[in-house]
Amino acid sequence: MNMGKRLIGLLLIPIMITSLFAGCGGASSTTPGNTSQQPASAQGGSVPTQAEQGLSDGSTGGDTVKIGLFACLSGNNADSGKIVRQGVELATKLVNENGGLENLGGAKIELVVTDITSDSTQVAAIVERVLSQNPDMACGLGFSTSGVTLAAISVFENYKMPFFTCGTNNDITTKGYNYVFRNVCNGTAFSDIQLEFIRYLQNAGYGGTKLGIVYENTAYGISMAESAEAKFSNADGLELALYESFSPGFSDASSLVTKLKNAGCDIVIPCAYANECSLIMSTMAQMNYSPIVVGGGAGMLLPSFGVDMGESVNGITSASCWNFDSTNITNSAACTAAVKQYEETYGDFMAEHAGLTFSHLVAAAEAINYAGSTDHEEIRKAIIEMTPEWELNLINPPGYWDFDEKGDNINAIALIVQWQDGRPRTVYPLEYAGAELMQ
Amino acid sequence: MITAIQTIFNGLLIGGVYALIAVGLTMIFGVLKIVNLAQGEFVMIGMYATFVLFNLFGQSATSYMLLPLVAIIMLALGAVIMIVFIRPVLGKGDTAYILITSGLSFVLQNLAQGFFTANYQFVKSDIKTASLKLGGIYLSLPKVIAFFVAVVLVLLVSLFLKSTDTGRAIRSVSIDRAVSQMLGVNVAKMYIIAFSLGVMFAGISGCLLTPIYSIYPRIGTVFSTTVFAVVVLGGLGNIKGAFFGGLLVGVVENFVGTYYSMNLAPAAVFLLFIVVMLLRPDGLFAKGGARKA
Repeated sequence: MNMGKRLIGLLLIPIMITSLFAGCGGASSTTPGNTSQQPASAQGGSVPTQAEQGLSDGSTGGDTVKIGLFACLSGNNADSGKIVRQGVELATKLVNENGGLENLGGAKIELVVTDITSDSTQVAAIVERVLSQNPDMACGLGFSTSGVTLAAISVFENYKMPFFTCGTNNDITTKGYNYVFRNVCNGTAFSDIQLEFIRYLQNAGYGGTKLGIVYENTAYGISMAESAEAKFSNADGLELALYESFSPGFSDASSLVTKLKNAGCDIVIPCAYANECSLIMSTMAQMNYSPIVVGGGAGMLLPSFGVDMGESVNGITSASCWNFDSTNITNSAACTAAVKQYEETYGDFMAEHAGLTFSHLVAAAEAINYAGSTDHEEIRKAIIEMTPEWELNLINPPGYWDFDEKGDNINAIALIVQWQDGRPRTVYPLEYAGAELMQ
Repeated sequence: MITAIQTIFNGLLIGGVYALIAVGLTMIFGVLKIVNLAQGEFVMIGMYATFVLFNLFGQSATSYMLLPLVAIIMLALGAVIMIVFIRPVLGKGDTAYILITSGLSFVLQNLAQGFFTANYQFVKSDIKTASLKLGGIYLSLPKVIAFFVAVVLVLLVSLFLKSTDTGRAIRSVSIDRAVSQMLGVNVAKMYIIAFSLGVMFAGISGCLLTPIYSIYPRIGTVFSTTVFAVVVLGGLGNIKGAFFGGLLVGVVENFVGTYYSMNLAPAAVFLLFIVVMLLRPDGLFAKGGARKA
């Protein structure tokens, strides 16, 4: 091999090594809202910069309390991971700017950001590594999908560390785990609100009696679909005409849509993430098939879904755990300001996952403050026993949370949102609606 | 009946997408005898190239208008990759090819993530939800366009290989490298041309897929496995085989997905693959003859 080629090869080695790390996750520390330090993430950076790829050194920083943010910042769920990060960073900034944790001497929250990828087979090892390197971490949050949550639960149980999740799979809080909390409703609540909404549409003369449930065979999709099947298969005046699963990452939705059309479904409940939802909805449009769509959340609520679908997104409805315009938010000055600040900072509406993880950070902060300690058992006890008082804790519908021993917020409700003018608007239940249902 | 006809057309259309990607892959194998595990990533690069150009031109051009530019960019990229990464390992055996192309696949994914982040990107298209209506059958317009481009590509490539000096030289190299060299063919140059064309076809596929799929670093993996099955089914190195193999896979996938289960559709494709390999190990359209190292 001549010298020139050898030189090129040697030059390419560091480039390839750098590119490998460009896509890899790592843990990094930021303290948004700390005026003595201005990390890029406080300005709304959505991806760890090269400078943020280093691992945390495990120090507490003295006047800071560490909270772990575990988000899918790469892979197929990176879309929701970015939003999760934005919600948590904004909440952290607001808490820190408002004096931090008063009962801990005004300590500021320090986020330890970790990319858990979108691959649930890798999550446990990544979380284990971060927790072992950060024994002073007070709690964790992020976890935008049920799949990664279920993979991480046992690690947090081993470390006896409380953590918050957005996962809606029923198994998360029914298998005897003690340290998981979620400020979201579960799959059963989703199907309850979907049935209620369908009845509302029927009473309003919009028809629809034959249901099709199509879902991805992941922890999220299966949980949603099983809850929906249990609810709808015995519902008066409704017939479950199709119940079909698919593997995520498929390349073509036309056989699925053909099946739905053949089954005569005039109401479709898709449970999938963004890519698959876009493919299903655009294929429906191409095949001139326009059933009533009442989605199972997830991909149907992401900004990227609205961008991808363009104008044809308008009118599509979905169940949701959270939306930026529900009345619990619009009736609170602090929550309204937070939602507005999110939009100004990140240039997009505050999506469901951002709102949920925002609420988790605020809940965690107030619980740590109430406990006056970063001891895991004290924090866990505080979460379960306390009554929240911080106004930002009103951000999750219907208002202040109340966690039970299993980790569920017993007050959590589901909403129905409808895409209008490229944004999801809360349309049901009527007492939480931020907009009227578009005809 | 309508359902069956719709399913056939659905299958042919997605099969056309597979064929589009498979043509490039089979060309690379046919000449260089390399199984290119990075072909899906070249499709991804083609999509990102379209995205960058789309934004560079102020979002005023359609992805179809950008096709010639994307093709030129990918042709050049193919040449660079061939010279820098592939040529040094030529003749070193299949393991070297597998390792270098799978490594390349990983590097390209991570480079894309580094430059563009993992967020979904889009090339806005007015025809994303458009379709043609034939009686009671609906045909996705972006897929129809991709299908016809696949047909044209196959015809052009076949014509190129049969009727031009360079094409004949490439064919001779694919049949017997040593004899071709003795007859004065510049083998190294033919390798570069063949590899570059294969990468260009992947890039063209990527450009045509932007109205259908969102763009993210791992989009290539959606097609990789199926496209390999297509190429082997059609006969490694057989351009027409890759085309018809793609159509066959698309139809089988759609029939099983429509009449049985979408979860079983990939399994059905690979069951077909196994059956064909048992009955015709060289592929459905291969003309026989052992592969020469």
